[in-house]
Amino acid sequence: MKKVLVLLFVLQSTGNVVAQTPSGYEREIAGKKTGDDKANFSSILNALGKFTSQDEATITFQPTLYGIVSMVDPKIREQNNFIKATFLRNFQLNLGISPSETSIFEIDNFQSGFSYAILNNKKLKKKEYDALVASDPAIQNLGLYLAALGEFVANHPNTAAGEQARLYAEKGLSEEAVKR
Amino acid sequence: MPAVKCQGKVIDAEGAVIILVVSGQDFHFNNSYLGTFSKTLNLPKGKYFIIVYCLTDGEMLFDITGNDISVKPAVPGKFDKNNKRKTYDLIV
Repeated sequence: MKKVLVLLFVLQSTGNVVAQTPSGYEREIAGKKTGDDKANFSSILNALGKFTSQDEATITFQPTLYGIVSMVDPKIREQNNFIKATFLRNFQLNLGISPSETSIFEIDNFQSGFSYAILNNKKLKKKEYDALVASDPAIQNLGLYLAALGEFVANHPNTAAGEQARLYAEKGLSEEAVKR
Repeated sequence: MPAVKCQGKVIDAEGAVIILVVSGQDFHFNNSYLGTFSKTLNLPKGKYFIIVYCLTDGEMLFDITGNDISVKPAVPGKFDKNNKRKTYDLIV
């Protein structure tokens, strides 16, 4: 009798362990429940533009062509491409759907149209962008650092210190050189 | 004073910031550019140390031209993402 009870206990314990161990499929699903997925979904909604239901009966999408293209080609979000894609950013689609009152699977009305932003003061001109890049503090600092090195090399010809500065100017400062 | 022209022609790059430094005994110039540039400097006779730093994802051809000048190493020089920084010795 004791043996049977022990055997039952062992079987029960094994069953519990097996039940609590996630299967491969469960692990795959659990792996997808992350903030990244939420971020991805959020970025898709952002790309689709405004998603409104002003009168609680109509669903309206107002994506720009830029938003739609950015879902397919993320490279367009790079700064230079962003500036070039003026047409895509100014061209907005207006799509509206009115679901039926009786069923959400039926559509009573569908509207479509487009608008183009002729005036857009938010647009950054190429010249302004150039000035923005050139005024980047990191670039300014690098310029000052190189200018100081150049001046030192020019003012200390044929000296050990001058040659060291020349080496820094040619190769840059390595981590080892900074630590020394 | 002889005119010396420094030119950078950016090829096949989305963007390139170039820092140009020209230093002599009594002459110091530095500036940053975005993309292709051309700068003419009126330099008194003497020795100059030039630093060119090209932050590019493509390529840039750099050249120094002028009358009666000597440049080491020889120009034009090519910059790319693996060769971003070069120095030159210029004698005017």
